[in-house]
Amino acid sequence: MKEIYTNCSLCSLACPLILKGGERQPIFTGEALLTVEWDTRPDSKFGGSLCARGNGIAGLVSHPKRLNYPFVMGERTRIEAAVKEVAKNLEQVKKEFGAKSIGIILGENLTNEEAATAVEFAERVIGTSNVALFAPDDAQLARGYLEYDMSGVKAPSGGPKGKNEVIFVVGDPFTEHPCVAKDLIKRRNAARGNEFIVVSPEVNHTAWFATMHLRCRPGGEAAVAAGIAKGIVSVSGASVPDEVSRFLGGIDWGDVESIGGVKKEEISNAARKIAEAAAVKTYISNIFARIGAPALTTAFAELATRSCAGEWEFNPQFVQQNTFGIYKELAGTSSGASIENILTDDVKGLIVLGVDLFSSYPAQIVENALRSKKFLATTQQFWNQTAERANVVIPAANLIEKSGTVSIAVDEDLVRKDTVAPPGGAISEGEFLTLVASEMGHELTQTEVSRGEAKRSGTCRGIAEEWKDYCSGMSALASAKTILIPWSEAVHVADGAISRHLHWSDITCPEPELMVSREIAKGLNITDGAMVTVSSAAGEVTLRAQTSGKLEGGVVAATIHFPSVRRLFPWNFDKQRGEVVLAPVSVELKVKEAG
Amino acid sequence: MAKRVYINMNLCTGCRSCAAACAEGHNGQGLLKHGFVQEQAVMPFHCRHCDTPLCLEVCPQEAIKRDENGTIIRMNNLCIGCKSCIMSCPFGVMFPYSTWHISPKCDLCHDRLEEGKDPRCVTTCTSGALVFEELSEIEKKYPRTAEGGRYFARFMPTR
Repeated sequence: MKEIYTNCSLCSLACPLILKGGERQPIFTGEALLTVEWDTRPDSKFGGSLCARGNGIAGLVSHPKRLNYPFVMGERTRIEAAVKEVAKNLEQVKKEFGAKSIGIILGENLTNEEAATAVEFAERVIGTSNVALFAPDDAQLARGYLEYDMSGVKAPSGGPKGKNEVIFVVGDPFTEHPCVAKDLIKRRNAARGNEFIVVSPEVNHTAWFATMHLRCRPGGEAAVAAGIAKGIVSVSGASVPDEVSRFLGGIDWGDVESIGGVKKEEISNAARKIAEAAAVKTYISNIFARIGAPALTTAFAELATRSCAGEWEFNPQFVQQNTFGIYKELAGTSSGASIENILTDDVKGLIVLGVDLFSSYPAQIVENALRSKKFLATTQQFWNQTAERANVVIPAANLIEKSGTVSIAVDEDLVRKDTVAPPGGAISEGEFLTLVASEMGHELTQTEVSRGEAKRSGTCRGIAEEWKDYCSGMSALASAKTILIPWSEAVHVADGAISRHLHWSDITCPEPELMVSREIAKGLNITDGAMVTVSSAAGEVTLRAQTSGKLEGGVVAATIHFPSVRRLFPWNFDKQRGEVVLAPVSVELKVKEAG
Repeated sequence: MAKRVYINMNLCTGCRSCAAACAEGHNGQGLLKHGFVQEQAVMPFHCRHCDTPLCLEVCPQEAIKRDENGTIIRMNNLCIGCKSCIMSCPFGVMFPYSTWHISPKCDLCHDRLEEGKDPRCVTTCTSGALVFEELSEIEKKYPRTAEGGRYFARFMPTR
């Protein structure tokens, strides 16, 4: 029996696993029917554990609904014909509207090499710099790390005062990255006095294990992280760059308390514990606005972590596997156009690689943009709404079926060696671009990407302006009676476009659910199972309600892995950078049908 | 005493990885149930493989048997789907198969036990809450007052 030692491709932890080939050959798939075996070798990451998604990866790889042949205008065709069609249409659009009218949107399901190939394809073959990454969950974490360079922060000399370890978490890694649970719970339990500090507005799966839960206002994570950073720097005596020091001095505790919703004493207490810790391990975890202002939160958390006298480890966790790698590739080139520029009417031809844009980003602007394009080509693993709107659909290989490198963490690259053959006619995005380039008369080879540390900005310019924008944005939310925050389920990853195909997700998480706090349930007389209409400025959806003690006050939460729920968020663009910005949103509730 | 699956209730994060692994290993049909505890946590509830199993006693077809390890197993070919075992189970861990006429139950992944491996749910547990040990070993390895954590509770047998 064939054994393939590989890594899970569904999130940035990239847990090691073994895929075992069976004897039966499913229809259309390249590999024999696969089953997952756990890589329990002693040096294996997380002891070989796999979360619900990882356990289902064999099912996803040889899923009966995987695309395994291309489509041109909805008709099944051969890959050569599809590639010819793409090349012909791109040339036509280029001739009619110019090279700048073609754009490429990259999903997270690409290797570093493929991202570099896409940039080269855009610049050399097409002659445009319209290449952007669409990763609303992760792009801001990556940007926060690269743009606000905290590497100049020097820890105080003299060693740590305390003996205990502190785990500092913002968000909910136990849901979004369940495999870290074993390590973190073990550390918490390793010695009496170890602290597990969690910042989140709800009692999520991680906060349930916290020794200190800083229950912030929805979206107030950045403010609490700022308060903690300010507290630590003042207590520990760490040396910070002048601009950061000036910025911290200008942060008003009143703002921190009112926006963050946590008292100064509590924040200072947490800051003192982190400052005195013998070792600090920090995790930032975010899915679609789960935490407020992810870029700022990342910067403040890194500042706080680096200001500790003890050992430290800083982990901004990306939801998808290679966001950081692709972001790094784009940042290092003349490309890196914002997603906003590509969705304008000026772009007439569009290539969407490895992301179900419509499902991930269910906003009117995307619907209009996809309709207005003269030509749309896409690579997809499953037939979805983006594929429905595309002129040409290419069956795409999963990340587990590609060789190359992916950046699974901030400065950690993973080289994929063992790969599974993709089903039928599915090809990788890099191969697709190479074929199109060759059809257009250019030779394009997938170049090796230099591995190593990401290039950071060297300064923290702009942090004060972003903080100001954040504060004014949060004050608009202050008058809201009911606030909707996203809720994630461990079964799904990111937008759920792939994980919703897991055959048992219909049982564990079949439909989006609205969780309401007891106060709201009492006030509006909502019983479990009632159908409640949730309306925001952006849209309206009716969901089944469930009362929950995990939320308090005027807070409701809805499972974010369904496009219908994501339609409630305004999907604004960041003014300076053109990225999509999501934040908790003010909503109104109306009971439609009693439970 | 034979090895059984035990859960440390203070470690379960409710990620349902055990249910996923169980479903993947049993032709897509999970043999685990999950229960909510105080609305806060979700925890797996599986067959306890009782010393005096009521399901075994009530089965009119004698489709439920005890093997040499003490594991209570169900013979698929004998089951007529009368659901007597479901009604008799005091822990409510047996439930009807959604696709077949028979009633499934945890088999402790006997295919893996034969290879000397732990059951699927234990191998995949992301927080280390599930362990596959003999009770005496559990008591030796995890004494009730140890662990340092303020939430430590005694292991609860789930099978």
